[in-house]
Amino acid sequence: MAVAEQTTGKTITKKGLYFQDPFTDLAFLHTLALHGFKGSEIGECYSAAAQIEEGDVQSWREAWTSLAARVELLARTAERESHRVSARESYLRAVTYYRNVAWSVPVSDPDYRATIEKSRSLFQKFAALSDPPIEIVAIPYEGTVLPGYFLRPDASGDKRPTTIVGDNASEELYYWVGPPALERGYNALLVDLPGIGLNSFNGIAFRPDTEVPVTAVIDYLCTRSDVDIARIAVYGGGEGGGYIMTRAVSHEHRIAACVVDPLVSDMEPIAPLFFKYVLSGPTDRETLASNAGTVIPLIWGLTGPEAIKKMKVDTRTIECPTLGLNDSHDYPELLDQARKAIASIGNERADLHVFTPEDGSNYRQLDNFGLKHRVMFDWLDDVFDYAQK
Amino acid sequence: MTSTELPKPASSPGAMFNHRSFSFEALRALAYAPYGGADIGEVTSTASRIPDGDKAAWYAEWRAIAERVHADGDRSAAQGHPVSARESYLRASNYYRVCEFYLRVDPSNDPEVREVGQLSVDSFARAAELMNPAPQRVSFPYADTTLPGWWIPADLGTAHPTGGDPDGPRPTLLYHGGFDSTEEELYFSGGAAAARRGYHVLAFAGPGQGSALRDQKLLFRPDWEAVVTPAVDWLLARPDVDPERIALMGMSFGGLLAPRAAATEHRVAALIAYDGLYSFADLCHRLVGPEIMKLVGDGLATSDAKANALIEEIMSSSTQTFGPAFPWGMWVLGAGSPAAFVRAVAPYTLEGYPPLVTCPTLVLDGENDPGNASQLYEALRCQKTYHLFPAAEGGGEHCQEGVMCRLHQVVFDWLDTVLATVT
Repeated sequence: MAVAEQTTGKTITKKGLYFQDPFTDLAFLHTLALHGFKGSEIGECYSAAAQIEEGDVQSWREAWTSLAARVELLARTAERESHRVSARESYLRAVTYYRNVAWSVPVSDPDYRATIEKSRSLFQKFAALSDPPIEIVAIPYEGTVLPGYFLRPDASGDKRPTTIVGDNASEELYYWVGPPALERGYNALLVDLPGIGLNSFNGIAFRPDTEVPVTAVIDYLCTRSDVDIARIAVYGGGEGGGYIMTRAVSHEHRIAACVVDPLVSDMEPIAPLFFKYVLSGPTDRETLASNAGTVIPLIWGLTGPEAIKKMKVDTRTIECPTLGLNDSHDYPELLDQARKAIASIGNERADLHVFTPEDGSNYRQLDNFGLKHRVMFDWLDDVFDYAQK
Repeated sequence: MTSTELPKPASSPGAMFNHRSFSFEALRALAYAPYGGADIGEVTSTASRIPDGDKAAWYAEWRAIAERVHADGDRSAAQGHPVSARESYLRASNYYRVCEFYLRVDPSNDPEVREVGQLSVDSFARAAELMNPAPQRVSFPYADTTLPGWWIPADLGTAHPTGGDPDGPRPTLLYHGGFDSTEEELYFSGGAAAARRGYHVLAFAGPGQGSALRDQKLLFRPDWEAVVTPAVDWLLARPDVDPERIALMGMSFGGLLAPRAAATEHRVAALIAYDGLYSFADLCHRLVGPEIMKLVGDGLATSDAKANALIEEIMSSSTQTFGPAFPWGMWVLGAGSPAAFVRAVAPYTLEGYPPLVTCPTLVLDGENDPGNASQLYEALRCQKTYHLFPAAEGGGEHCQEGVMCRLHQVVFDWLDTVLATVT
């Protein structure tokens, strides 16, 4: 939506927000999009953008570092002065801005881990100041633990439907299901599944048989008195998340509903297209896309052809209601795979929702979180026969 | 918010148009996303379909998105999804407000102004019914009629903002807008933020604003204490209001009106001028320049005709907020011509009033805001605080559109502290 040549009065169709490079602009959009959940401010984002020299990753890093530090200071000051709401909102924005810093660091750089840890520590401040506080949890898994957060709509302790999400660092996942779940009377569990977040650094690597860790998560939920164990839903976002949860529900039948955005049943043909279409960018120098290219293999297991070959799902064994989300401009192979898989699922609530161009036109509806949430949770309300004021 | 001339459109947050007024109004639409008033994709895609400066397209495209989102709300409501319905209605309310913004050819008799204005109110009312606790449509006596507003109760379970009994009376924000505000917009620009922090809120439309203007045809008056005093009376009759802790906040042109009222209405315990405005008259006079000022000053019909022609010429060519200010101003001040509007703004200055304000006062200012906030601050003799939002931190626009959360941190952290010391 950047400025320039708009004086002619011509209708503009698809235009970047600020940056020419599509991936950088997508990253910027991914920052602005959190505005609706108080995870960013438009004015702060554009003030940082104004400091960034297009194509210079270092300038991206410096701009967001400076903003993150400033907002972190606002948060700490507000907390010290007992302004609880202002403190938690500022912490949440600082989390986003440090996350943006991490996007400009390749995983081989020690600063990557330090930045993620910084962002995580501030999210935990936000968690403690939330009402009711967001619980920090550790889920037993093969002799170690998976870190995560458990969110409840209130402190009543009532049994509630619960959504699980686990395909990206759990702080990031907050936006994908956290606020919309709470508003609608659902719990949300955000968890770092193997490979995700800092798990790869801690010796818990991605595994293609994702049903194993997801089963550990379900076991954990079954120990909680505030979870309605007949109404556990999973959500997987992005190609990796779509695979993780599609695979998990094909084995773990205690899951009562599955939303995959998009549905991925066979990663082998998809992985190269994901790199080609989504992570595109110049290859001769460091870019945000090239840095993302160092992270994605760790979190989604896309480390090489042999590993990717193992990422397959027999969708005929999926028993629960399943909602696939696609964008009309998704690359055709992704849409085809989702259509075929949905058709193969026996449950009568195996649905595909394709967002149209008039809904927006960005990757995974990043600029339309509200619409995505409405589609997803209205569907969940239906299959769970659950709605609360 | 017509007092803004945006000096550097390309650097203003998310400039969606070169047309400065369009750019600012689009930002203002988007800025309410953290409080449920917008979704970024809906705003940017709508803006992308509007050619720069094309008011007919502005109306059509915002109307289309407002209707679409409202219909989404109806569908969710019919299918028993109250949260999705509520969120859709809230956004529709904001989009209808934006849609109506440039319908300024004889607005007082334009049925579309009333229709779309009412759609914004109705959408908000539908959203409100689905909130818990639900904001209530209220009216309070004013002159020989009433003024409309929304009573927005503190969010459930919030702590008392100044540490009192959470079940007892609470500090209350009395909040009105400015030159081109609606009482529904106030929910997004401060009402919801206050409720989240444990304040009750009365967000209302005075004469010249919102449905008081559109439905009741009430026009602005400079002696704003005549508006605020009955609102304070109404608040004091409520058992849930802490009578010692009523704070008055005025947005935009309200940054002049609220201090004017507080100069004589001393039951107000704290005052927030958002953004501070010392003299609207000076601002307008500076905008039209000495030649036009001389013409409107001599009272001759021929001079008026010349002045009107000069102003019409600037209005039609200006992409600045200057253009929209005139049709708005003629409407809300009841002026029959641009020249009459220039004369009608004369009493809208705070000269002589700031020293009469006795309560603690927060004067807000944005680096790119051409208002005269610091002049107000200098003239105050009470306990006072001046906060300038730097453009480099994204808060430079008029009324800090684009950094709502940061704005509310400044406002309410100050208010929490000031009201805690009231005895």
